[in-house]
Amino acid sequence: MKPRALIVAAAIVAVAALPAAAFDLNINKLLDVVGKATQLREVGEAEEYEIGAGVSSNLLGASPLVNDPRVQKYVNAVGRWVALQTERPDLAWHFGVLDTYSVNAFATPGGYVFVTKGLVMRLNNEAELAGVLAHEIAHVVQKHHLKAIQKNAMTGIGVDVATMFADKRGRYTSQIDQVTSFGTELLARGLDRGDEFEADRMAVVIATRAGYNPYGLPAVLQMLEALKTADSNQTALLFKTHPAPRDRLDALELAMAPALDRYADQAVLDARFVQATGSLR
Amino acid sequence: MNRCTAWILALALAAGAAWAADTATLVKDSELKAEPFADAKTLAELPRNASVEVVKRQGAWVQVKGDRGQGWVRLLALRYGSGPAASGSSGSEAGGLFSFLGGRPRPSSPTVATGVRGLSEEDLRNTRPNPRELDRMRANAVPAADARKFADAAKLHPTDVKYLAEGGSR
Repeated sequence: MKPRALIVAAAIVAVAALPAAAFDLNINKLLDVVGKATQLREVGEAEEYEIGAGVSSNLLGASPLVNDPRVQKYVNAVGRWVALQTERPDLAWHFGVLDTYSVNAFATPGGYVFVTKGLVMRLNNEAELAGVLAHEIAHVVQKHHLKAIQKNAMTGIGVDVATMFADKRGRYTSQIDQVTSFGTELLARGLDRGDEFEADRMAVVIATRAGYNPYGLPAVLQMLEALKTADSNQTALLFKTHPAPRDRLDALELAMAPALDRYADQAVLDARFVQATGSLR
Repeated sequence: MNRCTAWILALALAAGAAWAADTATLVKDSELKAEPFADAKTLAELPRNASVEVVKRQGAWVQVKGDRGQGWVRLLALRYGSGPAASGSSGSEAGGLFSFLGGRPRPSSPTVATGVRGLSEEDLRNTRPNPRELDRMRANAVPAADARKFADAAKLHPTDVKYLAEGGSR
């Protein structure tokens, strides 16, 4: 815990021991902090984008991009097409393949989406890639990370609320570093399980809207389930931050049938995928 | 290449792969259907945990072979690989459903991966910003108009589909 947070915690303890009048006074102050925190609910797109850029820059510090413009362009084309089928088609979407053998995918606020080389090289076709990207895109559409950051600010764990909202005009952009730092922490910590299941349910629909076979993501989850015992080195972070593939498949099975059956003969596009990503293997 | 040819090719490739004879487990009691349709004739009732041999996949259905004969079950009723209690029984990456979705034979594990430590929790906690790499990422962005052309080239047509309710709609 940072010093300021400690002071706030100490203040709360002190408040509890004070007589009623003083308590009222201090509770007003505390409510004021909460009031400012709720202002964060109205994060504009510009701020969201700035937070996302900061977290993405940190992620890229941990793993650079695969140095192959052709692969990067291909994944951007698939991702942008898939993102166009969502409620946020005009966001400045960016997609990147990280140069690591780890099997994982990430999203940050503002439309930055990452997938690792280790995952892409284990996929078989564009429908599977679309399913993975659609899952990450769903996190951005639902602002899952942004909401987790806000929730965290409200409870004061991790981000120092006192300094975060020190600006009297209610601006928090000067505290962007702290928000960015917690956003990066979230990549290591993971989202709520409910957010992951929701992203799965949305992903199969988004990929289907884009013209792909709805079973791309389930196919990837089947692969991950089989991989779980085989290659723990490269999957540790993924499995720490996500529900077990088996549970995700169970949830999808309940949600998907029979609504998406009629789309089960939509495109998988293996030839285009293999051609575009062949350099990774 | 039309869709039909693609499927035939995919299935042929899958059949040629080393893991052709996949086994899978049913995660719930399932009807073994004569054809890959919900209203097709039911050949048998397969119990949960029944082990079946996977023949091929078609749409949302998988053709399987077992004690009760050959037929079709729902794709998501199957789980591949080793279950939690039976870890190690399947050493390699099981082919499973994904070998049917794409059917491209490939090495069972990446050639260079062994012993390489990947992107870890610690890497994320100890990272420093890399703005140069972020600029590179931005430079790769594909405009919406180009993405539409890219989709068009593969005959990907947008469809109107509603989001799914948790646990399904019925």
